[in-house]
Amino acid sequence: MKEEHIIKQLSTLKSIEPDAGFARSARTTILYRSEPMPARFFGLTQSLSTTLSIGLVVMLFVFIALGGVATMLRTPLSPTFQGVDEQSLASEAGSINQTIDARLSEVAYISGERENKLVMATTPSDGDSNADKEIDLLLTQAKGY
Amino acid sequence: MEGEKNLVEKARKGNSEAFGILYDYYLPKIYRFVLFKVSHKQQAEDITQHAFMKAWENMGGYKPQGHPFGSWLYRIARNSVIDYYRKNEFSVDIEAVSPEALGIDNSLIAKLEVKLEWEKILNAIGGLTEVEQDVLIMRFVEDLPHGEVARAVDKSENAVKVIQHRALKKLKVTLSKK
Repeated sequence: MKEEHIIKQLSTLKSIEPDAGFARSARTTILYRSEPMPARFFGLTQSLSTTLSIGLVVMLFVFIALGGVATMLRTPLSPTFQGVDEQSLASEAGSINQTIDARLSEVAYISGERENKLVMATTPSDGDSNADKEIDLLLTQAKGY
Repeated sequence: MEGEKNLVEKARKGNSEAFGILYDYYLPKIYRFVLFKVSHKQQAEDITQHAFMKAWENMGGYKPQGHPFGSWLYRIARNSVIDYYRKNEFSVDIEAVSPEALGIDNSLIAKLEVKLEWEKILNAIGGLTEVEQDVLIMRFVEDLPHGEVARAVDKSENAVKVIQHRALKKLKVTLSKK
């Protein structure tokens, strides 16, 4: 079938018309039951909806920007360790440890002497029992330290 | 349409008489366009009425911009058909499309030959895509120029020409088989 014949057949469909009753009733319904929006109000509603859309976009950008600012502000308030050298921290801690060890060893020495003295003091001697009791009491007190 | 610009301008300002004249002129075209797409007389009437009602309600916002009023109307009609399909799920039995189903006046289909030809072509149109149907109906049933059709279907003129060529080719194949 040739295209020209198809086009001719399509053009014959032009003779189809709507029902006259429908045409009349639809006209009445459309023209007398619905009202057009006046041009000035149409423009107003269009500009209002445009303004609202722009406003929403602006708010979105502000929200995103605030989120970025909040992230930037948060960092100074919280402690950061960016300027701290790990190695110096470790050496400092090490020297503190050494100091503590030295003190502990001093204390150990002193307490060791004291114990020796205590041991010597507790060696029974022939002599005065009252003095012994007193010494025992002192020794007990010293051990308590 | 002669004097269409003046009528459109009056209708924009709310003149119902002016819109009535535009309605009388465009009703058969829009009705046919919708009828061939939905293949059902009652639905075509409902959709056509809805399309004109939308056009009248939105006349205040219509801006010619150098394009014919008809393109705008066809666009509204096209969208009304799409809306109707969305809201009412129904399928058209392509094989059942007939001049009687479309409510076509019996006097027009008195000759059996005419009846059979119309049945064939209407069924073939039903097998095309939506935009192919739109282009063929607007171009060859309503004799619209490529520019107006392009405006109505929201495509370029070149695209419309390609769609037209493709659609005619499809019809040729379909009608040759029957």
